[in-house]
This record gives sequence, C-alpha cells and structure tokens, in this order.
Amino acid sequence: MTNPEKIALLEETWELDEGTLTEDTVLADLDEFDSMGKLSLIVLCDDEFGKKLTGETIKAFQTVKDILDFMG
Amino acid sequence: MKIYIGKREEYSSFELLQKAYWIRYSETVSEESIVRNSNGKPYFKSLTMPFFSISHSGDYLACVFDEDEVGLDIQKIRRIPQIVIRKYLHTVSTDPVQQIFEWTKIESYGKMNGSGIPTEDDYDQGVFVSTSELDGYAITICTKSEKNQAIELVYI
Repeated sequence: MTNPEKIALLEETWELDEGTLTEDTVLADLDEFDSMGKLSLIVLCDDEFGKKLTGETIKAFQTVKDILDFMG
Repeated sequence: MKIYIGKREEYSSFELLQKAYWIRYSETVSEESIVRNSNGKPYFKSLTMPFFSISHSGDYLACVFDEDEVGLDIQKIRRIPQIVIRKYLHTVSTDPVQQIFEWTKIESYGKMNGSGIPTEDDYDQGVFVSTSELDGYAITICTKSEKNQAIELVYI
C-alpha cells in the first residue's frame, strides 16, 4: 500500500475530509487523535496491517509520517 | 457524587487532581503519593486515601473520588469512527449521542476495573451513572459503591 493510500485509510478511519492529512500533519494538532482516535488506529493497524500497536509506540508518534512508517 | 471539572488550558491532569483533592479533603497530594498497578491504573499509595479516576476530552479534564473502585470517562460528543463502533459498541443505536454515551460506559467500566476495554459479558459489576449536564459532552462514572449515585459537577 502506498503512503497516499494509507493516508486515505486514516482519513476514512477518523472520518476526516479527503485531503485533511499530509505526511507532515502533527498529531497533537488533530482533535481526532484523542483516546478514541488512538483506539481506532490500534484496530486499523491490527485489522489491515497485522501490526500490534502499544501505548508506548503511540506516545512516540509525532506526525502522520510516523504512523505510515509503522504500518510498513 | 461530585465530578470536578477543569479546563485543559488551565490544568494538567495532576494539577486538577491536586486542586480537587484540596477542595474535597482540605489536604494536599504529591505526585509521589500516586502509584500504578500492573495495568497502569493509578491509585493513591495510602490505603486511607480514596480511589480516584481522571479523564479528559476536548477542552475539559474531569476527576472523581470514591470510597471504592471508580472509573470516569468524559467524551466530547462527536461521531464515533465506524471501525470502533463495529468492534466495541454493544448498542444497536445509530444515534451518535447514544453511541457516545455507550462508549463512555465502556471506558468508565474498563477504567474502574483497570482491565482495558471490556466485552459485553464483562458488565457484571459496577453501577453506571451518566450526565449530559456539561454542554456538548457525555460523562459517565462507573462505581462499585451503590450510594451517592447522583452526579454533581463542580467547576474549578
């Protein structure tokens, strides 16, 4: 999956308008990156990428690019 | 049951806890007085001190004290991602507000037990009390003590 496709998946997961996110988007600036947003990210990474996200890993995410890199 | 509410722009979680504790018990608490169990749930180290729970969402932080295990969740009312609804919500309601309240029940129960997100079968203990008194937010506490079930919001 390409990075634009992963970004589109993130936007769909967080129910954001298309084009809201870029690789440089700072997660701390996103209202959607709250506890529920983090949970939906955990589910997404598990279901779509087979990757287990931990709280510590999520804490280390600064930008959308960090999530994309984790997705692999 | 009193829920202490503060603005996130004014307080950190610990600062809110500290101020609320002072208001409630006229005593100060230090960060060293708090320990976490193996699941990461925070407690006061002293057995003579109450249980507590803290939550934040949107512009607000909230905390509550109780004589028994307690979980608190505050959520800004917004649409829940479908991926979360499909996986975790037990309700059949399609009303976003009802779904948020259901979510706060799940979170508060998990925080009370310190066991993460419960399944539907796990709802075997605890009393849920919810309020929408804070405009635009859903708040639910889950407690094992069956008294003091009326919620009073205290803005600090």
